[in-house]
Amino acid sequence: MSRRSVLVVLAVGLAAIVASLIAVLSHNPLVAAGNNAIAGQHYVELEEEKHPMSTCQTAGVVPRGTTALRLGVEGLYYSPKLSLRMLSGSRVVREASHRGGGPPTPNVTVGVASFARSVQHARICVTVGPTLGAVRYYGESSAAATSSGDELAQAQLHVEYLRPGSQSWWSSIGSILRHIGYGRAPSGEGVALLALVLMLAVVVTVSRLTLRELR
Amino acid sequence: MRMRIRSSAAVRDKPAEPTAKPHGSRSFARQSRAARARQPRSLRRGPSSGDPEWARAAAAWVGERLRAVPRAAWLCALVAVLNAVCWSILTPPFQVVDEPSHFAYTQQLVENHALPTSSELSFSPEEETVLKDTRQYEIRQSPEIRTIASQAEQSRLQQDLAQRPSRQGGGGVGGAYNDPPLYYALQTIPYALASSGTLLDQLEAMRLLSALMAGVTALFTFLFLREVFPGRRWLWTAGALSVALAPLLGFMSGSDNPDSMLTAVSALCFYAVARAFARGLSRPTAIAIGALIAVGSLTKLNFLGLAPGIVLALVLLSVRAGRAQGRAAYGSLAIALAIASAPVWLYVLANLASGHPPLGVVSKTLGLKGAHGSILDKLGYVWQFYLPRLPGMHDYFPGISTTRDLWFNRGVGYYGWLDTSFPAWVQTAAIVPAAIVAALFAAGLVVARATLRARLAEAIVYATMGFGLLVLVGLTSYIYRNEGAFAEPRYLLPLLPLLALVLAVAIHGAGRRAGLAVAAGIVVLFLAHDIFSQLLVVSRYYA
Repeated sequence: MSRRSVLVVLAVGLAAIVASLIAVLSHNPLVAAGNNAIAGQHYVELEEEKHPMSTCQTAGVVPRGTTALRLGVEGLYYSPKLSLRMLSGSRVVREASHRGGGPPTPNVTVGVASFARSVQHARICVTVGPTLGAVRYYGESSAAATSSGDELAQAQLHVEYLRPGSQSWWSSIGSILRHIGYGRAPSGEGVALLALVLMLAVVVTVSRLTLRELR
Repeated sequence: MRMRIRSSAAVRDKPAEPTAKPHGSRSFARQSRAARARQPRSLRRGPSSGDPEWARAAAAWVGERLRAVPRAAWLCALVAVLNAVCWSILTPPFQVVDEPSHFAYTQQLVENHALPTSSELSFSPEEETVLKDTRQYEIRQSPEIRTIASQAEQSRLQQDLAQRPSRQGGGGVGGAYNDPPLYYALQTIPYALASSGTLLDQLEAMRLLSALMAGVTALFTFLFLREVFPGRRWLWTAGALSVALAPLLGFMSGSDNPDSMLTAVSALCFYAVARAFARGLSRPTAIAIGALIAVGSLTKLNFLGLAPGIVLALVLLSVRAGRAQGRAAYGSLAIALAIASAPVWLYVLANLASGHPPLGVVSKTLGLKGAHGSILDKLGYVWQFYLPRLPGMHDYFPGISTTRDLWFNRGVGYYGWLDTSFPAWVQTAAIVPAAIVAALFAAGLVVARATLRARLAEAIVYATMGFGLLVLVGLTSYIYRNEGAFAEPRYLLPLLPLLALVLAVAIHGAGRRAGLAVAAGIVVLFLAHDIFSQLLVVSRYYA
């Protein structure tokens, strides 16, 4: 009975892993579908802020199918807490938030419900913080800002709109295998296959060991 | 004392060691004699110069001890090694935090025959060539940028390396400067073995040595659980397999980083302490524990966080053994402490001889230079570093929950140059299995409360080891708080045996019959976590 239960759990678990793999690989990775036309090469660095800061700015055209926004916000030690509202006129069309504490990378990606159609002349309102240490806002400095009293208004944020691309992970496997073989030793496509064989060996060893010892 | 967790349906398998007896009984001396009697006669005599018989006997004894290790333990180690090798293949060169510094340290030892001279970045021309041609500086901490992806870029890298740029750097190795030299000294072996190739060959060879250390970690986690839960093979296997499949262990051990060796030495320490609690503190065990402390201290300074717990174990076990052996037991303690502290004294002497502060670069880490603020400030910071802020505390981490956002979410996955993590929904979904394990662990503690009471001293030692490391990491972050928050899950890798212990108690908490299914479920969960973590890294660098 016990051995059977282990077998069942193992079989169901492995089947779930395979099913999840298929589901993930059938998924189309996100690609940039557009941006708000504000360049993101430069940044405005603001000091640590103990209170949330907000700004509203034009967001250009939000492309149809957008499921995530990539905002040029970088925390010094970790990504800051962030919330956003997307407006069309005075109507809020999307709201989303991002928990702080993520990697200190030059942008934060926030998922939103998919846009069934594109939104013209959108506006985006972003609230960031409080923060630990300085925060960088990638985009352009805003001349109109300082009188508002809100530091964040000094920056016009660079925003990218992401949506699922036209190709699934499956169709990229060949190029990914080639890619893994570059810039390393040993090099070549065989390297990725070696990794695959090693993981298969891991799965087989783990399965056999689990069946043998868990009784 | 060799207590078992009680279970109504307990089926005791073949005992781990037939000689196991309760601690503190008069049988301790008999055990020591019995253990000694099992050694070959020539080994008992001890070494004498030019005595090949002794060497053969020692080799035979070691071989016998290795053969006594269950096959399942070796297989768990194999899984950990294969997994780490796989990670070493999938992670691009130098795309693990501080890997360029660690490589430079070893290169400095080999090529310049000297320890690093500063924390500046003055890598060798060869290393700079690889960093430039692989676009390391652009890629790290920029998740949208992929590794080189064209034959032209690959050809340029190969051509530049074919020019044989110099391997001699300026002595500045960046962040690794403060690290003790033992790990890097070991890495000189694969570095030298692969020296006929390019730097990339050497780096991969060094990563493979780290991968072997993952095997050591899994092996001794298995043996640790065997000492703690004698007769319960499924707990040993499930716990050790979970550790072997832990993606963070694979990731770090698939890179050139002293954390891999620190984790392995820590697993050895947990095993040695558990063994001593199970079988008594013999002199060889005391010497071994002292030596492990010395080795750990020479591997990475973070090991010092575990040291108070290990010393506490030595003291408690000596007091216990003293009841049977008298003063002789304290002699073992003194020897162990002398061995353990030897690296510190040598370090102090070397610093004094060279005109540096006695504790050298460690001074700052220990807070002798940089730690301002009251004890309450430090306590408040360390508390908030891991736990929710209490009323009245200064808010050191505004806008986030350190428990959830820094430790839990990052524990779910935090790879590369701390720039690769799972999407938010995965981190949220991970709360479910974590909560189930936590509930089962609580149930396991309730079921085993009598055993826990009986083995309270041992439990306190493990808790002290864990607590010591947490405090050390928290205080280090406090001291360097103007340079960042050091909330990186890799710093807690030395506590992997405790994770295995928690999982084992959780499995026990599910009961004998359901426990087996839960154990299988936990192993599958770790396997899935590992596979999808590797896919995450592949998608980040190569898609």
